[in-house]
Amino acid sequence: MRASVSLAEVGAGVLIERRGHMALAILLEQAVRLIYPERSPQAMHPGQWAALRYLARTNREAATVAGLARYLGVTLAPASRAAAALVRKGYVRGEPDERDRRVVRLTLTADGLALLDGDPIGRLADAVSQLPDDRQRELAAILEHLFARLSPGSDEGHDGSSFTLDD
Amino acid sequence: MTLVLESAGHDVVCCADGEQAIQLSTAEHFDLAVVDIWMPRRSGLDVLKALRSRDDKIPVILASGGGPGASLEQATALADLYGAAAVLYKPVEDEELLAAVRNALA
Repeated sequence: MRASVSLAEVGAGVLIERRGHMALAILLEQAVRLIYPERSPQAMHPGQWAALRYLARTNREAATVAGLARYLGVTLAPASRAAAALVRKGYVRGEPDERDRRVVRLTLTADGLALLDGDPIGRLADAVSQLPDDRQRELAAILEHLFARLSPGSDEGHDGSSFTLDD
Repeated sequence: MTLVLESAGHDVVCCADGEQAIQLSTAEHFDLAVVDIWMPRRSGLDVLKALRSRDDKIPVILASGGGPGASLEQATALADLYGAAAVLYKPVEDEELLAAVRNALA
């Protein structure tokens, strides 16, 4: 379904009140869901895609479940489940570290690397790239604003230990 | 990191926190900055943004093992957005750091 009149064309007609804010929030969420349309148990979940991206750019020492958990901002258990799912699917190999057998080193398999070529987040990146430069900068500022207010502890003010996401 | 960089022949000036790094960068010229993302007072991302806001194109390498308030994934995306030369995940291997420095200075 394609809207016949875009929001930009409606302009001043967009609701700047609670109902409009809720609608914008839903549209934002829907934009992200559209990237990951497959919902089957075998489907790659957004967290699993993020794990593949992490393993593609991290070094060997940081390619562990603990490193993945820090990257995703989750506890060890969900990071471990994401890693295990990727191992089952054949996209990641997990091998005990030679110096410390309790640590499992994660590496992308050839299939995992090949899968990243079709990373669905590329669709969103392509859509963003079609915006004029000034709109891309506006989008960056909007997202920084949203993350600054939605991140854990953001309403407690800047205590100097976490980074500021916008000024 | 200082020892690794100095042993490779680089002159290194250390800062205690992000605020000091921002102040120092206004007073002196540096070829490269290597900063942690999560630091006291001002973050590595704040340092990167401060440099870019005054059109300073000095290469900035960010390193982190994660911190409070945001995921490392989110911090990495912001670092990429502001044109970080590289983002390194701790524990950073010596050769990885030196390779990132070589690439950034090339």
